[in-house]
Amino acid sequence: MSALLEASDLRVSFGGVHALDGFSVAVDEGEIHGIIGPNGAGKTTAINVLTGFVKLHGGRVRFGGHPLPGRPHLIAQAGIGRTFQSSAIFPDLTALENVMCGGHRWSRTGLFGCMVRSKVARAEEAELRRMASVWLERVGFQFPHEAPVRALPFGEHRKMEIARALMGKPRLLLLDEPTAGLTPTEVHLVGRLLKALRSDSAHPLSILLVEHNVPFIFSLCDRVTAVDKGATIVSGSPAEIRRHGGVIQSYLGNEGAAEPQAVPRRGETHLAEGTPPVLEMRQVEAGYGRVKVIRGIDLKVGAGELIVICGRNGAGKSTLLNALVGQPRVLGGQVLWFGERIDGLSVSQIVRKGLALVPQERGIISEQSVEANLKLSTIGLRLRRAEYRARRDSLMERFPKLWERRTQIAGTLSGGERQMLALAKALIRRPKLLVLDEPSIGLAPTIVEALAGMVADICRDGISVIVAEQNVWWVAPLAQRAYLLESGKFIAEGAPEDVIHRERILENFLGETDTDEMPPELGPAFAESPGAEILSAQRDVHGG
Amino acid sequence: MRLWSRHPVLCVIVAALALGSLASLIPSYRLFIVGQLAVVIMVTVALAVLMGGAGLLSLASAAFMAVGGYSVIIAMTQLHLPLLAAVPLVVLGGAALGGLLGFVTLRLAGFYLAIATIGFLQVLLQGLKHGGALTGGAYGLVMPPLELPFLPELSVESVAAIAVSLMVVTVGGAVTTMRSRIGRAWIALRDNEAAAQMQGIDVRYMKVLAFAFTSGIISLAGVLHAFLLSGTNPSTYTMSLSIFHITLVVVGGMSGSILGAVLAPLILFFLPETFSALGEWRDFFYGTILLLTLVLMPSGISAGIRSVAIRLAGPRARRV
Repeated sequence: MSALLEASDLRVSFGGVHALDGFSVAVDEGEIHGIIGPNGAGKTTAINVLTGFVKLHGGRVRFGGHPLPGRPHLIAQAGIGRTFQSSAIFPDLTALENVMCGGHRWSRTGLFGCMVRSKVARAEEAELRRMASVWLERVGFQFPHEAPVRALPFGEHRKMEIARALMGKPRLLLLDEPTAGLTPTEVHLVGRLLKALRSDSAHPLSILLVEHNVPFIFSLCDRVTAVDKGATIVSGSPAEIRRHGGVIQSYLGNEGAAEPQAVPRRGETHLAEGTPPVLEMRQVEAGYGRVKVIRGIDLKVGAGELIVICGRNGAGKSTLLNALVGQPRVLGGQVLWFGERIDGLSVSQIVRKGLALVPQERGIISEQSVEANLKLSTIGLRLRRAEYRARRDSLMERFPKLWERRTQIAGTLSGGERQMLALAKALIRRPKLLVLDEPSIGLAPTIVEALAGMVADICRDGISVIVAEQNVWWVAPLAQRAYLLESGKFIAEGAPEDVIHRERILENFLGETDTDEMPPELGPAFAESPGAEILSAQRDVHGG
Repeated sequence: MRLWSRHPVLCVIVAALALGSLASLIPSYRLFIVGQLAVVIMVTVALAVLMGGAGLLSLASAAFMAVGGYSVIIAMTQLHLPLLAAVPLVVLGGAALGGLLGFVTLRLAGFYLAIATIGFLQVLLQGLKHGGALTGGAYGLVMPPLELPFLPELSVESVAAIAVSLMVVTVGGAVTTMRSRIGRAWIALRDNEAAAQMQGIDVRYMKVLAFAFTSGIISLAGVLHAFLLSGTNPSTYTMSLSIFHITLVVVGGMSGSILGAVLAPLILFFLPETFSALGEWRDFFYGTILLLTLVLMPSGISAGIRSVAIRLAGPRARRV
């Protein structure tokens, strides 16, 4: 039997960068197939190629024995449904109407029929409505179907999008990180749903999903394809993948080789008795609306210390860092800056105190030149021209590559150069604490090594640094302390070796068992289901 | 409500006849303004579908009113078509021209699309001004007597009453369409084009369809407008007319809701017109209402009403 979807040797490049370079995957009828790979491996690009949003430069895709049509809506009509990595809802429609949109593919009423609401139109509308509410029930949607969807929690959007994709009666369903942002309970629910769908004999369905949650993939999928740098490394059963050395390497980096060499080991802790730490968080809670994303956070940072916060996607790392600079506002607890409370202050007041955040998306103004970007970030400091030049020149010694490109438009920089610029923008303000959100995202291993060196240098200058990372291998050896964040709480803290034990990472990323169930929960933080809590908070918001 | 969802056509016909005959009771000097109000509401509702619903900015509403007005006169005087044949033909022609404009500007969005539609309006206006005998040049065209079979010649008053009825039909059609799969598809492509495409929605076709739908209705409004004024004049169809229409849509709300598009002309066109005693203060009055509505209801009238309705009826209030 030939595969339902056969993609072989796909090649795509964006401006000289190979996003896909020999990617192949084959999905059989009724199979659940997973794609895993590190950040920037080309997983989403692959999904975009398979749904016609990105043009292929080489390779071949066949779906049901035919070549793929050229445009996305035709591909959807041919029977491929998908969800998107970031929420792609229609915010002005109700949940039910959102899902009804998924039935556009097989409803036929024309403009005139819709206008006069003909008999056919009424029947079709009733069928759309009925099926949409059936699907919403099946994905476990928790809110009234007529609810406005804009303010719903992220997890509900996810479920709604899956329902919407299923509404189109696809033969192949492509899911781009369906569990990102879901609570463990919800992840479990999605897993059960996908299994049930596959065995639904009335309507055979194949599923191809991209995921970072590797235990989830391994417990769910019949076969898994591992990709790195745009190419398929290996394809096979979960057990085969788990044993495959290349996969472990692409996730964890090269043993030894990738470990930063020239960087000195971390020194003793700088938390001197008596003097207040640079930053202290006491029982901090923060979130969006009334939903608390992080709870009970205690954290201390001394002068010149490097702190690592690790944890899965969606554990609350970014929320924690953003709450430090006051966006979102801290809902409970205290944030102390050299012993002085700053949790009530505005973003600009906090930043002026000497706290610099480099967000995950780098915060670069891409239409402006490198130099203009630097200059813009000194606004508010009212530097004299000579002082600005002195600061700039000292920074340029640290980042010589940026100096070469100072007139270049920032949007055309490579990923590594962007990260340099982002660091330079933060450092030119002479901060006392530098906060980096996923600085290694989208960076090649060599650049990450260079980044490690820079971070070490920055610490040596007496600037404290907090790094939040999913891929901690590069920064862990430099750090004084590490914290493990899960579901908005610290579930472990201490010396990096203890917290980010290599075995631990291995277990987190690759799982140990092949059972039906999710792997045993990581700690007590999982015990109370955050899903239920978020839900009740949301219900309060809507006055239900 | 149940009757409306099952037999919208019946409801609309009854409402159209009722409102039309109600309108004919209004004294004739007032009826003229009511007729014009009906025309403005039709245009606003049509534009609310295009801009609010499908998210396509167009400044060509004056152009399609001109298309309606001029072509109906040309069809009756030059082609000697009877009134009842000319009007549907003009509406279809306007829709086709609108679809063509939508097709040509498919690659444009936002301000670029708006500027392109200004270009269309300017080209059309210059064409009308220099169209010689066909368009009457700078003076425009004069409406021939409006003859219907078995009826005496139509007076301006009866045209106004008919305009009110047709306005009701337009509003009904716009509401049913926005609540159908096509209306949802428009809102979907407005909010997230990629996600819309993955629902199997042909985004290009839907955009062209939105332009055609809107332009057809605006052409009909243009026909009625020319009937009311007994002719056309190129200086009527200026960009400031288009901007006035857009103002009404924005004040009504850009969410694709039809209710705001009906209410905004009442507040910003009918109120200032009725208080004609204001004289020179009319524009001042108009500006003040405009400011007040936008400051008090920053997302437009429909959103303002919805939030009040939600406060009154709880979270389960239906979308209006």
